[in-house]
Amino acid sequence: MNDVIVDFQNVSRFFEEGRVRALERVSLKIYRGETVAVTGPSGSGKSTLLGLMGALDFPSSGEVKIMGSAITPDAPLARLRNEKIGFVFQQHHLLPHLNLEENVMAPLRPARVPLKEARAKSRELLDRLGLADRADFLPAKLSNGERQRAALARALINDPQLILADEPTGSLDSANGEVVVERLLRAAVGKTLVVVTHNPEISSRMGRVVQILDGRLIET
Amino acid sequence: MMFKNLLRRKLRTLFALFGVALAIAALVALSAVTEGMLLQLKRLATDYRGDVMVQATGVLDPLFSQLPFDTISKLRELPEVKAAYPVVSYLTKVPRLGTAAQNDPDKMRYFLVFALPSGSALLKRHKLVAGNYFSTGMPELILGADAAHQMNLKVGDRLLLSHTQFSIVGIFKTGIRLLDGAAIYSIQEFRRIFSNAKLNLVALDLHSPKTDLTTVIDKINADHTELEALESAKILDHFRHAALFQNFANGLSIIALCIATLGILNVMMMSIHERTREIGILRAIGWPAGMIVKMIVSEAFLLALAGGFLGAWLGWAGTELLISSVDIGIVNALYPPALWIKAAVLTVSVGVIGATWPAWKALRISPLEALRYE
Ligand SMILES: Nc1ncnc2c1ncn2[C@@H]1O[C@H](COP(=O)(O)OP(=O)(O)O)[C@@H](O)[C@H]1O
Ligand SMILES: [Mg+2]
Repeated sequence: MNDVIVDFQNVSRFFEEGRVRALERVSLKIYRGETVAVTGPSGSGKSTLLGLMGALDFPSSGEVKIMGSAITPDAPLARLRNEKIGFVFQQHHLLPHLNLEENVMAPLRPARVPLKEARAKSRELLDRLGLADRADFLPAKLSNGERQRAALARALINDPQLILADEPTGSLDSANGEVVVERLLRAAVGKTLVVVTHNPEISSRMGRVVQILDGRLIET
Repeated sequence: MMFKNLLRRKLRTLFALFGVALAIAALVALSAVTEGMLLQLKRLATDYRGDVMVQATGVLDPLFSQLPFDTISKLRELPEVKAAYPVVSYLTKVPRLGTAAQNDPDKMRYFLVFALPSGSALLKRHKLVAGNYFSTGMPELILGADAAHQMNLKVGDRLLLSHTQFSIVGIFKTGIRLLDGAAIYSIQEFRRIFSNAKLNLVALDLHSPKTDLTTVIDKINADHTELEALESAKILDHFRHAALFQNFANGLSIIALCIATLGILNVMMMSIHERTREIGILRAIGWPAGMIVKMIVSEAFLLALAGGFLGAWLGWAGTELLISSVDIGIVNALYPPALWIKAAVLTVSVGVIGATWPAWKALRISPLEALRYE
């Protein structure tokens, strides 16, 4: 339980040459097996925080370590993101010209997983998310909920240690939202899950809630 | 995947593809024709050579040189000179089918004619495949095998040429298109038909070419300001037309290639701009930079390659069409392996150059920014 997955020390992130202070001196440790909800008003810095956890961005000052790796521009971040982190965004962000199956197996490409195996894995995940009969559909042909479930399948296909979800149910009705949350929680067993959410019902199902106000952290 | 990306914007992709194809076609056609022409000229220069060639001073091209006939006797006086003989050539028109009437301008074609001294060593280089060489004092000519074939003429037929009815006494074949599409008759007949005609070049054979070559050239150039003596071996350098054409061809090819590169660059830049979000997604799910570069470069490559193949075919087909539609054998094309290698290398370069900047741009895309906005 004392395996540190996310380690922020005095992390600040500024934009527009320091005029926008999205995060200020945030220190935070998240351990293996934790499920964390991040809440706070719009524009308070939640997405910025999650982007740093997902090794998609660098701090302006302070230190970010994810599973022991310092997040700096010269670190092998692509590999870390690919193998250890699964990210679900507020929008589905599927590739529009690939069908669902191809989208879900895209993260397997860097590791050169053989096509047959990749396909089987992709099908299995889609099946578990109730999308078996949608595998060869393009994202444009699907409902919002189906797209978000497919995006979740893509985030989980490499069996990541750290699952990050930025308002994953924001654009969904409650039934689809429930499927996604359910699935996230199940995938997070023995792993680590961080969810940005406005929904108190979802926060209440997480082991820990972290609140952000104007770029500063308030633990509750 | 790269196919899909290219196919997504069919029209734009087609545009770039045709850009590359046209550039490569221009390159292939121009190079093939230049190569063919140079070979013709080279073989012409080696076949029509004395040790020294003399032309009028300052002409752009030996074919435009005009000299009076007494030049020959002047040059024969030089002690080093073993033989001096005139070379004459001119362009005229003949009936497209040799025996047809000459009153319909549509049925006429351009025709290259040479006049050479009968019995000269130069004449004997035109190997006969039928009949005999012409004799002096008679309107007789020998006809190149290509011309005979095109005009459907054979030994014993007649050909109206320069207002004179010539009888065809022999057919020759040299393997040089320019010559095999032409006719040759005697200098004596030429001077009879055109009483105040000039000659084009004087070819000199020397007694001892190795030792006297530069002496003779210097002597002629010093004593006769109206004459320009050239070492035969270097005469090709003096076909300034050929050099000009070659420069022109190269210049045009370079411009075409630049345009093709810009075309690919444009397509790739636009495609990457449109796909900022997608590239951000690929980065976010952990595709390494190399894979993204590879994706972009392969797209550009595929585009360039398809354009290159199409262009090579267009260039070849266009050139062959052109050649078959031109009467005189001046236009000739040659496709040495080096030409195809050049085309291939340039196609690849166009692809690589067209992809480099877009690929670099793509790597600058921050995944977070790309995914931030709708
Ligand atoms: N790339 C950026 N450039 C400029 N400002 C940014 C950028 N990213 C975030 N911000 C600003 O930082 C603040 C926090 O943004 P964000 O983390 O997206 O908030 P949240 O997700 O909590 O709504 C906002 O004021 C936002 O406008
Ligand atoms: Mg946000």
